[in-house]
Amino acid sequence: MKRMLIAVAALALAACSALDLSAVKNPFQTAPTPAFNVTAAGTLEPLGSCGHAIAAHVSANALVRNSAASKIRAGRMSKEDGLQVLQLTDQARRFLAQACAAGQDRLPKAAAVDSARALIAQANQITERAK
Amino acid sequence: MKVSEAKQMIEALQKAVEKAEAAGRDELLADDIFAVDDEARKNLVDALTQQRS
Repeated sequence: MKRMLIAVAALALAACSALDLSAVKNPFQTAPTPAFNVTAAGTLEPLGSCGHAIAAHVSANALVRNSAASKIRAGRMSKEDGLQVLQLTDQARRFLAQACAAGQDRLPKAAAVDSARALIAQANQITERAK
Repeated sequence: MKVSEAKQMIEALQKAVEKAEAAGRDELLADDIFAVDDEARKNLVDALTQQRS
């Protein structure tokens, strides 16, 4: 179990690193993190009923939400921006849930995960801006 | 990424793992992971609700 935790944490950190907007490149053009194990069929390896990449992105989504909440409480983020972060992360969450459900009917999950990644990056950009 | 953020993420995942272990499972399921996001969403909504506009 500890090994699994470390593996998921590493993936989550990799997902967040990919969202690092201090980099010059456009986050929407960021290449998929190599840690995401995509099979030849375009599906992601399962972690129980949830893929590693999905778990990493859900964690990243939660991190952005918590970070925005902290900044709002510190008076460093406007309500408007906070609401936008909420909307974007809710959308990302829906895509991640779709990706999880896709495991059951073998639909490719990668597209849903990519959509979630873009939304999380956008929410992260708004959160990072509030400094 | 800041070290404090990495710690938050690890703590969140630790909670998910503990939830799975408490349920007697040796496997993380989608529900365990999504529960972490549910908690974060609640935190954000609470912050927005408490904020003066």
